[in-house]
Amino acid sequence: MVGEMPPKKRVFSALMGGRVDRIPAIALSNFCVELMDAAGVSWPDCQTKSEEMAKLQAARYEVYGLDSLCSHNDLVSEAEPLGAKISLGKRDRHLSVASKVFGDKEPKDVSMPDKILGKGRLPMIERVVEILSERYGDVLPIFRMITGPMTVAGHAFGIERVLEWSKTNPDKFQAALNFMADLDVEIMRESMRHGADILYMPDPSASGDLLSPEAFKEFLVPTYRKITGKLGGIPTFLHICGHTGKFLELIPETGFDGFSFEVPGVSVEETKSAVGDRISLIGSVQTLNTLLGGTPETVRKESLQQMLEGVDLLCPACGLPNYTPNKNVIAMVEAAKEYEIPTSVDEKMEEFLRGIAIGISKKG
Amino acid sequence: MTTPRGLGIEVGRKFAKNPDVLISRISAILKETKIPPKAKVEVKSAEEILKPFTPQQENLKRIFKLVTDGDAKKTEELVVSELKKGTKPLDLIEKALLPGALAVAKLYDAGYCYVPEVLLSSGAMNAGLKHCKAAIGETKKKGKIVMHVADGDIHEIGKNIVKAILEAKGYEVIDLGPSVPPDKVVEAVKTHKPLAVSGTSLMTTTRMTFPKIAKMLADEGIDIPFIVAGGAVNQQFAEQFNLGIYAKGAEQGEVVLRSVTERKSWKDIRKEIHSSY
Amino acid sequence: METGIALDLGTSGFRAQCLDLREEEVVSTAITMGHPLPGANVMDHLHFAIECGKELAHHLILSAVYKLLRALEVDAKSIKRMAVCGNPIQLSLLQNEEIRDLAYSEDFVKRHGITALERDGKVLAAEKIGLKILNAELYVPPAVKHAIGADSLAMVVKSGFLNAKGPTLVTDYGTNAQMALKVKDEIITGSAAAGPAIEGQQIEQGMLAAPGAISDLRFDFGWRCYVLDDEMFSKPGDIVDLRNGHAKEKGLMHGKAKGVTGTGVVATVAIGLLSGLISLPRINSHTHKLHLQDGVTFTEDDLKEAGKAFGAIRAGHLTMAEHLGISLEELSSMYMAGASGTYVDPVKAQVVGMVPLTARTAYQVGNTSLALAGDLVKDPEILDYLQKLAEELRPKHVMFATSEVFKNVYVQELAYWNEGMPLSKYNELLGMLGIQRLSVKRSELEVKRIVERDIPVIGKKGLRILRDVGTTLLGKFDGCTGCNICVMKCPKRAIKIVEAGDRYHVTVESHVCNGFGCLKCVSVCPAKVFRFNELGIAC
Repeated sequence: MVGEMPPKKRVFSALMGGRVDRIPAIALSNFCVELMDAAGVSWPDCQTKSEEMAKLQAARYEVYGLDSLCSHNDLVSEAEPLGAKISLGKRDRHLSVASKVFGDKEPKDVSMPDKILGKGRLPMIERVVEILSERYGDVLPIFRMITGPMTVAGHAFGIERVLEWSKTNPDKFQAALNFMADLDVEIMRESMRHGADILYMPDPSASGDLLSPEAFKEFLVPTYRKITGKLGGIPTFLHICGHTGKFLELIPETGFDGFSFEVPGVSVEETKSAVGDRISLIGSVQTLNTLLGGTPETVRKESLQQMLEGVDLLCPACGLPNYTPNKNVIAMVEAAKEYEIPTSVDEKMEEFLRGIAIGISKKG
Repeated sequence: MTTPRGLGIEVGRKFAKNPDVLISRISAILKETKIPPKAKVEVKSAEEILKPFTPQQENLKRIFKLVTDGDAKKTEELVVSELKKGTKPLDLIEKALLPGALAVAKLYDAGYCYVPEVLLSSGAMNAGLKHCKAAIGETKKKGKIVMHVADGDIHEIGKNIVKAILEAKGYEVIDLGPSVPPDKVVEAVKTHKPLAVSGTSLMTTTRMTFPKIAKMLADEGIDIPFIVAGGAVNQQFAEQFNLGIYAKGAEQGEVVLRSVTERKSWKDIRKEIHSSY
Repeated sequence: METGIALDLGTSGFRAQCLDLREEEVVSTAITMGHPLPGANVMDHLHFAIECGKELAHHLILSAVYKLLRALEVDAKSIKRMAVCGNPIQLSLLQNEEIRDLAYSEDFVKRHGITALERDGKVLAAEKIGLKILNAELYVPPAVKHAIGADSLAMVVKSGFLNAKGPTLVTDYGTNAQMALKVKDEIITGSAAAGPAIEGQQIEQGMLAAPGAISDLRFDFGWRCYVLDDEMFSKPGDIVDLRNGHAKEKGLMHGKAKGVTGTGVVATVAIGLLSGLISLPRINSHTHKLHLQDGVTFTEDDLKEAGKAFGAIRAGHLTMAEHLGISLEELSSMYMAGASGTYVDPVKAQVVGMVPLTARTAYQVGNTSLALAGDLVKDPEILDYLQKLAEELRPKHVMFATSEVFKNVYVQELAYWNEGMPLSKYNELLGMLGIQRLSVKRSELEVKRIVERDIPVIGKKGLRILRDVGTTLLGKFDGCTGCNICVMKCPKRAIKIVEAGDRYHVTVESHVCNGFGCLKCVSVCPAKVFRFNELGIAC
């Protein structure tokens, strides 16, 4: 029996495939109205001011009871310093990109702007990481959220053009991805200096709805390897929502330590069977059906079922919907505390028996 | 499915179709890996609670359901039409109306429904009962209680909630209503000879009528418990006059009535209830 | 210099201002810490007056007024006018008028031959009410009806409610929560017996707003308590873990908290609901309590009491909306009056239901009673306008205690707060009763603080705080053995016993004593000789 661990150690260990006292509970984004009310922060301050944003992030731990903190809540903070205009959304609507940056330009025609780390909201986000690290750095891991290269390329060049290149112009496609990968690495390196512990990389545009497994293998996998290889070995995890069933075999080759996926686009069972113990699994309590529309009891049941099926870190399937009630996320955290990881001498035997239990509980 | 887990799932599915195979070994493993239930106590479901009260006959069943749903209007309509068809009023009362309200009271005790639903079903029961008045006298009642709201006070909600619960549990409630002068209370007690009398007060200025009533009852040689309730009274206040017992809710009211049928004195009942707080 | 005195007689204390009549500005302000009458809320004061005699109550109030005038440092001869505002009980006691019609139902009043007063606006010589040293006129604004008194009129007139556009709601959060709803040209008023929990009483460690009261809880990377300091400003205290009271970070007011006030109760319940620490009706901590700083706790029983108060207010809002035929979703602005209304956090008030979930703007308007009294002093002619307004509002008053809609909604509220009935079931039952449903989505609330403090302008001579506002009451009880048990058991330490020859004299400080809300002295007296209604003036 492993003794109680501080959340930071627990998350690190779970992500890297090691010993844990219990399954950690984490979350991706938490731009929720009820959480904002509890934390006493208002919009738009919580998206534009470091102190307010830090409070909302701290509420992940103080109000929800999660084992992790994160830097911010949007996917547009990488396109912004490149020159994209962003819309601040609303109290219940996320930030979005309002214009393409590079218009009709080609990847070979564009270059990284000077002193990019000082542009856009990047300095503000680094300040948030600093504040969180000062207060909680000893106890909680701090995720630095950095949007994946496919999604940022879509913001910068236009997603239709990028998808076209993926089919007709491999050089341009790879060049666009590399450009964004370089940007992502530079941002992460800077953030590590401010206290960020773990790279959380959402790349929603890299889903099976938009890319073929061949394109994923040929272009995305090397790009991801490039990113994860240049970060001095810190733990990293990738999040792709939607239908990722066709990529599952390729995911462990990306170099990420963890993979966060979205039920019902793909099931826990399918994912665990495909990647086994080659990469840690993160997920995947359904956001709309369960966390938003369910009760604490249904959240608990689904969380327990997924931990039984083998997720290594319990997490909502995707970003939390705006109107998610606090009590549902708290129920997810309670479920993670409740679940007892079965101990067994023979790992393979344990795997087999758990499979039988799952098979029977689903009644074929 | 080549991983051990995948194989296990396949095997598991086969076992599920033929459960007699290796069932003892599997059930032992299942005990370890089953999703643990939140509550360890065996609880009756709402359906299980309703079953023993539900009547068999279709027409009576329909009335029963309307009472448990709390629909006073439809209950009354259906009762009137049944009486016209010649259905015995005693059957309607004992098999449909009373069981309906009692079932809801039991659901309330078990936590499946809330006070407003108890009030609604009590209202439905009474809406049906008023057409069966002739037969009411024949029904068995556990005992009577006279209830009132203090002279000068008009807040009835607390009293009505307790009244609904007590009626559902088979007691007869003589409700004197709001703002009742002390002499009328004593008069009602002398007329109806109840097991106990109760008074509710929400404004502290009005509670001073209760010690007066207690003295008037004592002067007449009446020795029954005088239950006081409501926001303006408390244990301390009740102990300042004879017969006084403080009740926090319907639960204590029931205890008092049961204790009187067991021939306990108001002094002993007060001791028992006040020490439970 | 000719001066005028504006007086506000409130539940938690009196407030007075001296105005220079020519310059029409405030010269000095004095407020009391506490009320001269024994009791913790306005019902206790009423009870005291009925049991111990309204003359005694009148005397205690007059003494307090004299003390306030001294604190204002005003020359008695210069006072030309006085205006007073407050709830009808206080105003009637000040004038030594009948008050029993406010304590009992209409039928009781008729049966006992009590004359119910109309409480119209009036002008009288200050001497007539016993202020013998003054040659001034006293202006008393009218009451609307029963519990809706001059203070409610002030709430309606001074808050901005009358001129607001769109459906508007105003509420004065107090023991008797008064509220008014306006739709186009129609206004209705109502008052809900919200109960003392609103001001922090009937809560185990609750207290009226005074130094040492926890008045708010705010998120600062943890839950930070805010405590009132000696000047009645809300200052940061410790960051605590609500489940066990462990102070994660000590604040400025560490060690100073003595209890929690009404706005603190609102904050605690709201935070509990938002953070999952409260799942009605349970508190989800080991001890089943929420622990604030310095050992101040909030129990499940406190939660029940608070819930009854919040429920009464929300039920009142819904009832008025039903009467005027609008849905609360159409509400545009909410005016929050009274001390509780000024200091409470409107977002947290929304979470507990004291502000409708669908309100879009909340205005915190401060002490409207004192403001109206000030207006009357400056311009006595407005008395006619106030009288007309009161007469217009009189027929449109809803007595919640007898309203079927209110009773039906309040029963749902009791189930919601005390039994954990979910809002979905609440709405389902309201639908069955033909009443509008509550919205479950909280709209974004724009908060406009009209004043920073309860009393915005205090004058160049500044603010005086009067702590010793009461009078010593004396009791000579036959059979008293001087055992001192009442002295030891009195929770406010208001009693002293002195030997006087072969007898014992019992003294009670009237402003400290909790009166009929407590009466521990009466119940613990072993000889059973402590008769509270035999207390009189000591001198």
